[in-house]
Amino acid sequence: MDFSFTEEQTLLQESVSRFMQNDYGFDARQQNAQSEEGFSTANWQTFAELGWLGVPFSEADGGFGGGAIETILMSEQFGRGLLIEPFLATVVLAGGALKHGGSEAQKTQYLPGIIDGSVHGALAFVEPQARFNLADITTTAVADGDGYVLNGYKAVVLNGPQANFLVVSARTSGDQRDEDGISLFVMDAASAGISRRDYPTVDAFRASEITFENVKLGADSLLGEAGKGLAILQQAIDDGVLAVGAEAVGCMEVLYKDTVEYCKQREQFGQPIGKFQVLQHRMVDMFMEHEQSKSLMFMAAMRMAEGYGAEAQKAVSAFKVQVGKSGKFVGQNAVQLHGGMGMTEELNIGHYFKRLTIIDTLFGNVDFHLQRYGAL
Amino acid sequence: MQSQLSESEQAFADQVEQFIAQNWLNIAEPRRRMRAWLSTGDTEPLRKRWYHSVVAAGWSVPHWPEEFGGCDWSPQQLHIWLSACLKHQTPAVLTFATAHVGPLLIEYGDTAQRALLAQIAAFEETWCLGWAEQDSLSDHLGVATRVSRTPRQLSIRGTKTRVIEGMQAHWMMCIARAEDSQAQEPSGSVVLLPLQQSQITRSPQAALSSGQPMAEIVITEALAPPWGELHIPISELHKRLSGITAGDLSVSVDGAALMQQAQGLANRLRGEPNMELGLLRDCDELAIEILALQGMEQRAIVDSELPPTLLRLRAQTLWGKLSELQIAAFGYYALPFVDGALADNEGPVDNTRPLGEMDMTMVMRRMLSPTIATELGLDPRDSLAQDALGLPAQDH
Repeated sequence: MDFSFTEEQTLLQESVSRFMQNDYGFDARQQNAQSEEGFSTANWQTFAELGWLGVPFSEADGGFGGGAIETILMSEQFGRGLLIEPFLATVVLAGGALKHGGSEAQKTQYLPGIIDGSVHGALAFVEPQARFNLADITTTAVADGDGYVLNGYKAVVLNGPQANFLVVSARTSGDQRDEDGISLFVMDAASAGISRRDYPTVDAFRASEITFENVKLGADSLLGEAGKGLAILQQAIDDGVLAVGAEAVGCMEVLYKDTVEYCKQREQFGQPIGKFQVLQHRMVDMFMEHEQSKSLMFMAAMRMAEGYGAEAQKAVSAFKVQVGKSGKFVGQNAVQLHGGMGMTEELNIGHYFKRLTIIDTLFGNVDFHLQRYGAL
Repeated sequence: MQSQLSESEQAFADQVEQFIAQNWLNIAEPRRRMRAWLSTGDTEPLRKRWYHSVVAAGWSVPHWPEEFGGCDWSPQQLHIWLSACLKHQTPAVLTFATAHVGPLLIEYGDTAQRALLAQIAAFEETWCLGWAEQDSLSDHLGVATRVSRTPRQLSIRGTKTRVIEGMQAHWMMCIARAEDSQAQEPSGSVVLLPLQQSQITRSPQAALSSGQPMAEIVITEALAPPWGELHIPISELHKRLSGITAGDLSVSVDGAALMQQAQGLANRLRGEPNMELGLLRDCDELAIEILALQGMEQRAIVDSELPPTLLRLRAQTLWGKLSELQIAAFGYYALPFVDGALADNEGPVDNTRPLGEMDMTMVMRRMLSPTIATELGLDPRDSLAQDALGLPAQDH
């Protein structure tokens, strides 16, 4: 195995790390989370100027030709800073669907805007009844002349409020849970017949419930081949798993390190609580959980970078299982060891824990990915 | 980054597999090989044959400097070799002598002491550690064994207990204190003591892991050569033996063996009509944890900041989990404890379970075998907390 990074990858990691450490303070993050957009548009433009928003896209599409390795390098640093800008929703998910299945015309239409920061996207794939089954779809797209008419409902669409365009999964044939017959469509978020209900999420992001009522789509809205959209969707979601998993690894690192520092300083019975064996062992276990997750992060990223298939999917699911378990353990113990302080809004600890809790649910929780791992 | 071995590493891994197949897997049927772990009399020729092959290949102490018989291998090659040996359950190439005594003699020994290296590298002489004593704590302050010096020799007296490999060893690395030292005085000596002398008697102490018994060794004015004192601070020795130093190779080679055992178990369970679904799920969960350990092993090869103790702690935990799953998989046949040796003598109790497919003996040994660190009373989490996380030392 080779764990070394290229010079470009190292520079990218350092660039993101430097920004998150120096220019992404927790207090400012909290203020930005309360703003109308739910994040800093200035930060978003900075990301664009630094080239981060184009990292996963090919050079032919105006990007930097990065892949899974670059995704984890960036996302791990995002996790350390508890990023709230919608990199995942716009670049990894919506952009990822376009990257994997979009036509040249679709890429030309949307990717430059993503890369220069002027366009936001969202991937609308969740339905209330589906839990984590990507193929359980009741939203329909019925052929109508050269195009389609879209009807249905999508839940918890990340970055829905800000999205200029949507990538939506819909059934063009087959039964509700058939893997065939699923198609993806890309459309203007302001198209007639689309209505939204927006809300904040537990971890300070924004999402929407979106209703599609007789939305008329041209033939050029179809992303990839009709009825074969599941493979594209699955790949975009696995990119997402890798990204949020790496984010969780970054969160865990901050949590265990901050907890160690806190326990070195906090005194009880005339001595630092970090001297107590029972607490030391707990922190070692937190350290262990982080390192296990980090190892699987590298393995999953390497598999994804070497080619997307069953091996890569299995590695991604293994990573997600570990991250789900480790995140819960590290988060809970960080809060516990900080005592009452750990439960306050003013301290970042609880916010990391909330993000880790949500990450476990995003794209399938521990149980789901364990089942998927066993089935692959 | 790439997840596969490089071309040259893969070629080496193939060479290792071929070597083990020729010199171990193909020289006896599985049940005899399994029993060779136990080093019973009738498997001794098998063990000797293996060790002879390893020595002839020049692979007995690859981690030593080349001038003392080591190989000029990369850390990855070393990992491949040691992992493969554990996975295929060869007689151990990493013994107390090859893993600990040799490197200590190389670093701290004089010419006379280093003359012992050749026998260690040839697997001709085995060593044990004489540290624990009845009623003494894990440090050396309570050690009652005494050494007295004359110009011609060293004389030792005392009793060592729970000595791992003590029944067979030719030499003991013996912790003793000077005849005139006072209790709690922080001095101590490391004496290289030949065990085959009439002033030494050994009695077996059964070990829970069903492997070789430990030994109680009574030393009555036994003699060590005048050059037999190794000049290493006891605290340093304590650290070296506890598996918390980067050089401790035995901590980082369990992944492949664990995965082989876990996959074997899962494959067998999947074919059983009455198996609980939860058990299969637990097998998958374990496989993921082993994958993480394998990733950590690979990272540890190139990342010196990943402490070896962390890997050892994790491996030990995973052997424990595997053992739990194997016991659960036995169903009612968990009641008669059947290890390789008993099954070989009397035939398997459970006729549905072919021997060699699920190696309970290996798992239990790996999980329960007393390790040097356990013997020294060290909890790996303590050293990790202080060395890796920088937490303050605990009050005792």
